[in-house]
Amino acid sequence: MLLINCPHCGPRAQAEFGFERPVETILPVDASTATMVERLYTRTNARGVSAELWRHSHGCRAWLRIDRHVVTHEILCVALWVALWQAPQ
Amino acid sequence: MIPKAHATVTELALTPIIGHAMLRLVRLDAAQHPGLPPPGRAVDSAGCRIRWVEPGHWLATGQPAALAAIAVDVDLARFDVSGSLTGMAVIGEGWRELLMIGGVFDAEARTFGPGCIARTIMHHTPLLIDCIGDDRVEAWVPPSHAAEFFDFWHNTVARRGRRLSAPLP
Amino acid sequence: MSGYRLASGGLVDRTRPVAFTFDGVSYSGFAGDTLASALLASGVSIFGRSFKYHRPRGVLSAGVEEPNALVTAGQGGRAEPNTRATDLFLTPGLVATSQNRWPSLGFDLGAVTALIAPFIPAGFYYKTFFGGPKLWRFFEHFIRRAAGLGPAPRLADPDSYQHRAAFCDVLVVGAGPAGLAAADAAAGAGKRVILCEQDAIVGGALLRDAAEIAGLPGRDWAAAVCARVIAAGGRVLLRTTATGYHDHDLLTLGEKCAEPGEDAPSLSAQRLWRVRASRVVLAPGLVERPLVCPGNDVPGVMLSGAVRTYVQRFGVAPGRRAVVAGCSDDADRTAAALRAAGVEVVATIDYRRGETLDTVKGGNRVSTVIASVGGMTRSFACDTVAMSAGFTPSVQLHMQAGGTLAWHDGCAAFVPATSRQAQVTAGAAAGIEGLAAILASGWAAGGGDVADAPQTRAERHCCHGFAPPPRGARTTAFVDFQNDVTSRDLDLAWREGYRSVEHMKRYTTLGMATDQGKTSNIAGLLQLSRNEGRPAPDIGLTTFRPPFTPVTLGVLAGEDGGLHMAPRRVLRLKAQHDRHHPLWQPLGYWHRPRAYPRDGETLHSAAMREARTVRSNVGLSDVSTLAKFDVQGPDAGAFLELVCATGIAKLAVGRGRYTFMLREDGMVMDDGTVWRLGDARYLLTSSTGGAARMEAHLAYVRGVLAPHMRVAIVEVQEHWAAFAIAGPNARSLVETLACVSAPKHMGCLAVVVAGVECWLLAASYSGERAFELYVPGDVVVPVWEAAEALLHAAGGALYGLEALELLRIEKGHIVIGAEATGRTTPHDLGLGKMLRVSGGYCGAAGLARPMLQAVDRQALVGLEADGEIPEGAMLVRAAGEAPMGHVTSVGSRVLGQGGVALALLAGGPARTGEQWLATSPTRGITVPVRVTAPLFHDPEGTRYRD
Repeated sequence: MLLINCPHCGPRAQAEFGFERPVETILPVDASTATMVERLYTRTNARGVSAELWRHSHGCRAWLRIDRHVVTHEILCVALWVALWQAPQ
Repeated sequence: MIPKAHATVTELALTPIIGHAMLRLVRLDAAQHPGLPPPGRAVDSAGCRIRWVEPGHWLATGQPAALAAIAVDVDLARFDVSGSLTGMAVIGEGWRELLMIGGVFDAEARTFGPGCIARTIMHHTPLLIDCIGDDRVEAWVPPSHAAEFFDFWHNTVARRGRRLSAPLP
Repeated sequence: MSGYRLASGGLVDRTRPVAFTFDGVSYSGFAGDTLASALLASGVSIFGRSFKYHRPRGVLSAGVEEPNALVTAGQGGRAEPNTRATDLFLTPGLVATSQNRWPSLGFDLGAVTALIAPFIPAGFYYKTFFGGPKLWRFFEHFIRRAAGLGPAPRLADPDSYQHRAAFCDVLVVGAGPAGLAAADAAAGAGKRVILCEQDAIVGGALLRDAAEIAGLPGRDWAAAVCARVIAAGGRVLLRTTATGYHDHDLLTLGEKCAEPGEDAPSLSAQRLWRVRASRVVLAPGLVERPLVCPGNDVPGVMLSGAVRTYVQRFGVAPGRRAVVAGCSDDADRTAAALRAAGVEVVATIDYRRGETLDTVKGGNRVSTVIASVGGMTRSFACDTVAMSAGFTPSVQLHMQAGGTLAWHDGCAAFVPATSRQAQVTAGAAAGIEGLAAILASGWAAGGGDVADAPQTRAERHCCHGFAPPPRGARTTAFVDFQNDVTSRDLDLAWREGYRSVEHMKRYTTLGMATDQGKTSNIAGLLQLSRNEGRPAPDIGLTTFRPPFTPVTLGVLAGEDGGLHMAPRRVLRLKAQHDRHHPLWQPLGYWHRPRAYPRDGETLHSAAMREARTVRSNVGLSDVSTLAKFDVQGPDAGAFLELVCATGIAKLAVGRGRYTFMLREDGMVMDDGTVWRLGDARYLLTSSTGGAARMEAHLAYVRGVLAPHMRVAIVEVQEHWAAFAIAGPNARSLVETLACVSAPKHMGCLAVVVAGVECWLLAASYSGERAFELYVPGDVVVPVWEAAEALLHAAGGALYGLEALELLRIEKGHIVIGAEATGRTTPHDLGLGKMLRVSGGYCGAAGLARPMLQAVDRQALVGLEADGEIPEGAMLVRAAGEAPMGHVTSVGSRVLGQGGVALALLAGGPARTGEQWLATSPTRGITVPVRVTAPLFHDPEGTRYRD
């Protein structure tokens, strides 16, 4: 079970989080059909670090960007998704 | 004989929290709002207790008159959520031990103390923990889960674990 | 001839005798005995029968690595099969039974397999049973009876189990000298420490060999360390095995609060700890290796260290005349301990001098040993053999954590090399010899300054050494005792071409038993290395996976067994429903009334009565489980237009509409209603089953796709309880209840009922005039009861899910999961006209894909027949043709006769009027059906529209 350091809640168990999608698949609502097909169905799936969108579903419910190595599960960084929602220092 | 840090759960009292109203205050376009608590904190203010629950979301409990008196401005929206959560007070020094059972949250960390709130999942149930004092926390769960969840706690307290915290060999 | 209790000595409590039975015979031991030590003391030699050849087996070891002495502990639902007798402490009234023998341990008919042993070597089943299936089925009957060891319990387990989380700075695995030193150092430095030990008492090797540490007897030093750890706020967990090392330094520990087979009803029998540590010190020690020679499995042959453990810790002599055969100083210690206990040591065989143990003879007990000593072959009469082929460091947890291994020539085994997580291995398991060095290594691993490490004046005790694999393969030279794998099997596998360590393991089943090869992996590796002519480190080991020792399923399940496997979500109005004895239907985690049968009614007749009451009078139904969202803010309408594919923003205050939401690929994801409660406030409802998905979707659109909008969304599924009042007399009931003029169809109004502020929404799911009342859940009971009273006064009825289905199917209302399958677009479901022409909603891009506009796609139709239409049936034009669609929902005409259904059919509405067959080959039913519009009642909608 991964340990994910949520910027709001501190280190928490993976059971509290939900993986949403790789960052490269985020699609604006006004995207064209061609963009939609490419983003959703053409994936790189690299054997290395994956930039991912996660949510702290059973915690603070914030959207997080997590860079995770898909082989070793090493987590390189955890950050709040949108700058607008940064926690104060 | 057993050090204080390992007070057993058998000394806990579980009491339902009733007779309150609940309000959710949501900031329309930001994560913080002046005068409302920062992430992970709760404050008592003018007859209400206001808790940060999500970025830009706060949960207030209290009597309806006191909640109505909470000032809002154009940036803050009010939502009546009185039916959303059922509360249980856990009274006794063993609450930290109880919260370690069936969950993944570190309730034994001294950094989690009075004035702190945490949201986590325990025994399949989303849970909001509000630390009121050294010997009291309040636990909030969705009402549909409440019967089974608090039943789970009652059984845990009643079942006297012989080695809940290991004495000397 | 057999073991006996020594007159004095050992750590068992001779003042506390404990009675137990084994195979129905009563025995007595002492508190602190394991089942193995107590049975040895009582003169028992045979503990079980081996897996394949049913050879009589005695106990080989004194620890968790035991491959032979597997018993079933306890009875009934509490029975735990394949329990190692060496890992089971006596509890009063323990009932233990031997396994894998019939009719008895002493006389086992299974022993006949030994006669055909030459024909059933390892992997024989890959080379036999060719021929027709009938031949296999004949042999299968016998093979199934012979397979396995202990029988699985057939009764429910009465014990309860617990899961507990824990967090610490330093987790120390193993409370031998190294682990204790590490815990001492860490606790002294103010760290949160957890020390876990699978044994019932701390000490590890100190329990077997007395030593003086820091001026105290070893065991007293161990107790003092534990006291210091606890005083510093740490935990010492006994009977707790570290079973798995997982990601990010999370370890699972299995704690036995009650011994297997012990009746302890008020306790949790076992506890699973999930410990997240900042650092982990692994000090699991060594496992001794048996010598590989013919007859090495005869009862009375034991590991040398185990013999010493039985003598020094349990006060049990394993026999009267012993031969000691080893390859290091450790064997000399065993010989000295035996002599001190009054056991005659007939011979010592030292592999360092080139001597070898060649054969052990005996049937049910060792009788003779043949060895090459002093250049000659000699024969020794004895009843016990204490053997050692060296010691293997336990590296399983280190490997589970992704660590690498390095070959240690001294041990002739692997030791931990690099770590990928925060683990460090200390003590003997790291290949360190000598108590002083072991203590220092543990102390340093715990973060202590090496100058402060606990001191000992014990001599350096060398245990590194190894015995080479035997020359010439013999059928009774066992390598893996539990799976009956012999050295001949390993050579056979190699000759047949299975030459990688992975192939050797799977072809011979070496290391695949419940002991996971703890006493056999290295021996197999050394033999393969010799055959291959390559050094052992080049060959490597197979992967170690959790659990380290077998774990009962109960402790993995914790509290989540039986009815608690999934959470039970309960309606606020459950008690009110229960008064009418509904049939409760699980729906995801919720339980909702399916129908309220009255005397003698079947489900179907109750549902038909309820549905007819709705169509002709009035009905009341609890729809509280619907997903609901309160959306506020200046951009609330604009936000909802991102999520919903229909018009929203033009909705007037006090009005609502049906709406649906698409996935990004254009498929219908969910549907529901939206109501404008105020200028900048909307209530969105959607399906019960999709509640969590919709909440996540709304949060995603808000948080990731449209963070700039001024909108707030709160999930209010449980805040609002809701019930539907439907039927021609619904309006008058509602007007009486709420003292208000009922809103027009699709209107909404704030009302007060029984002093409670509620919302009254005019929406119809049933097709009759209908309203939904949204009441805050914490005060819903008086409102419901008021509605119920009016309902019964009007002669109406409560209706449940089954009636709801009958009503909505007649109106062609889709259900997410039935008609909206995740592969249906709005066009397929006849909702195309509702799509917002201006676009800009989630899923618009996906929906525009050309393939989704094809006319021959499966689309929503209605079906009618004289009788019942089979649910889920395939739709074919004629028997034997390929299916062109399927039946999605099945119902009956509520106010008429005959069956109706909704279906997805290629070509859809264009086929209205055609005759098709609804066929279910698995159920053997075929029903002729006629394609209609998906609407069977009140096509003009006059019954609910204004």
